[in-house]
Amino acid sequence: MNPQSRTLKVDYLARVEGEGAMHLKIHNGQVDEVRLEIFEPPRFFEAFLQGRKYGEAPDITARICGICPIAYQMSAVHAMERAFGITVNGPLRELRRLIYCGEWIESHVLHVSMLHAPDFLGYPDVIQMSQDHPEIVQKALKLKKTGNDIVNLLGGREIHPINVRVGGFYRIPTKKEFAPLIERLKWARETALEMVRWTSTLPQHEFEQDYEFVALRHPDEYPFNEGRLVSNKGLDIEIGEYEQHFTELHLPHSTALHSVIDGARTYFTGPLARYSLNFDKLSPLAQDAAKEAGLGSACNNPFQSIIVRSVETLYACDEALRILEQFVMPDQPAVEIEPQAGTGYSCTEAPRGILYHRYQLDDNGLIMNAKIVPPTSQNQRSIENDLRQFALPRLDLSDDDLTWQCEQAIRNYDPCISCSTHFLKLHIERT
Amino acid sequence: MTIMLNPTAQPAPVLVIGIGNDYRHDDGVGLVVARALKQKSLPHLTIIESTGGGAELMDLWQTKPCVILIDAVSSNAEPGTFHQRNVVETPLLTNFLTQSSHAFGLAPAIELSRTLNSLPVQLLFLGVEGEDFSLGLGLSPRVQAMVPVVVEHVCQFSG
Repeated sequence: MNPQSRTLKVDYLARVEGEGAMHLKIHNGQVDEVRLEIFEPPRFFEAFLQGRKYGEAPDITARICGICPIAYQMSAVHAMERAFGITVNGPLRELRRLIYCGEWIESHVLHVSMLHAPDFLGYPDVIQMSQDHPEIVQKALKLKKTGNDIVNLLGGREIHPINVRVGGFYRIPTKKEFAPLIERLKWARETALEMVRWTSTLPQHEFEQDYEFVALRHPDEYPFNEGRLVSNKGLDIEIGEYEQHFTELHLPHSTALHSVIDGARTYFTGPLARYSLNFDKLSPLAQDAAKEAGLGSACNNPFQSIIVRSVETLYACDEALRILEQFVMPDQPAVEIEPQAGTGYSCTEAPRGILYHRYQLDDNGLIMNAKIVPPTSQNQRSIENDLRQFALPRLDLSDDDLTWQCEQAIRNYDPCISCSTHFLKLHIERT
Repeated sequence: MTIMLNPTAQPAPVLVIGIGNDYRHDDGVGLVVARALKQKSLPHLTIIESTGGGAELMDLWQTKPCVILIDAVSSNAEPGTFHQRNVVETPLLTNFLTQSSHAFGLAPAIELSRTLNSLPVQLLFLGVEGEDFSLGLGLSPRVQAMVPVVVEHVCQFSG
């Protein structure tokens, strides 16, 4: 076999949320072309939202993704409230952070333990991994369920929650209903700390890149729903300026649009970006665990995202406990809403990174047009760049090993290509 | 062959989980069947709609003795084909993938439960071969036509 003339085709990449294909073309020992093809449902939902009432947006957009419905709901309600000139403060604001904690716990634990860890330990999937490490998988399932329990109680149900509305919630659970969560979260916090320690022992690739990280930054807290959009390369803007700086380019190989900063710059959003831009806002427990795990105050190795997700899980447990222990019943489950014509926008921190929503509304609060930019399409260029850099020194690997390691590199981003679609295919072509 | 979940005189409690996504046409068939079953108000059936996240499914079924799963299937069979399988005895094969928005979906969840010894005593899969899994609302005619058939099977098997 001539190593300079090989064609490799892999038809199925498991453990990535969604549908798409990755093409890696290698010619004369060089990576000639990398293309991530993804098929994106938000475009369908943008059209589907036109003519709907403002209050329907949280529930409709929540259906874009079964993994992160809260992110869609939070971006939608904050955008609507911005359009109506309303700010939600006090206990309702805290409860919104609480429900987001639940979603981060669910999503991160699923990815860390069930989808990404098998890569590091050399298993094809979590089913094989569970034969040797049943206790890790069982603990992960229970830890994930703690996140589900938060979303279930406050969201009305686990998947596609129905209790979130513009202005707040339809119903606030009582202190008595919240009480059992506190004990479960104390166990979850301990287990998340174990997960940080365990992930820090997994064999790592040495692979650091000079990324432009983009995340929300808030003066007082690790970001979920509010803050300015900042980067480590000088970006510092209000959310309302998003579309002046972030543009989407259409490329023929993908129905998804490629998002860039200021017309050209590739950027990285998600746990690594949030962590690197907001380390000082993590709780002391999460900061200490990160240091103990060998992380600095920033992290440029995407393979270490498995540790960073664990640190964020620990933070989410810690933050959820803080909120529950200080819980005060709000006077009203929601702030009164008076629809008016206008444009509202919002950006919140979905588990996979920043999720931007913008709605234009008429006098009656009907949606005239909508724009939704999910995190995975924003990371698309960064994933492609990583693959290019990562594959280059590894071209001597066998086709199977190269494919497997490239898949692992893609899974660093926990890409939610899907939001309801099915397969990712990886093609490596060598000529 | 008809698989009887509970061939005794008194109907035992059965958990029915309809799986799918309404916004992906035929992927929603499990949800449509679940809603049709709810209309029948059968006291021995507990009916849940699910998007098919594997961990959630495992949590739902692990303490239940009898569970029926209803989902869309994509196996290159004729659209509208009715599939049934006792998954305690026979795994859902990888070439018999049900449509799921999640990488960790139904088939891996069943196998992980098997590994962790947390499968229900009886776990029956009922599937309808889908035709259109593109974005949009509503079932295609051949899949819609199977809804009463699946409903009848659930009633027959569980009662």
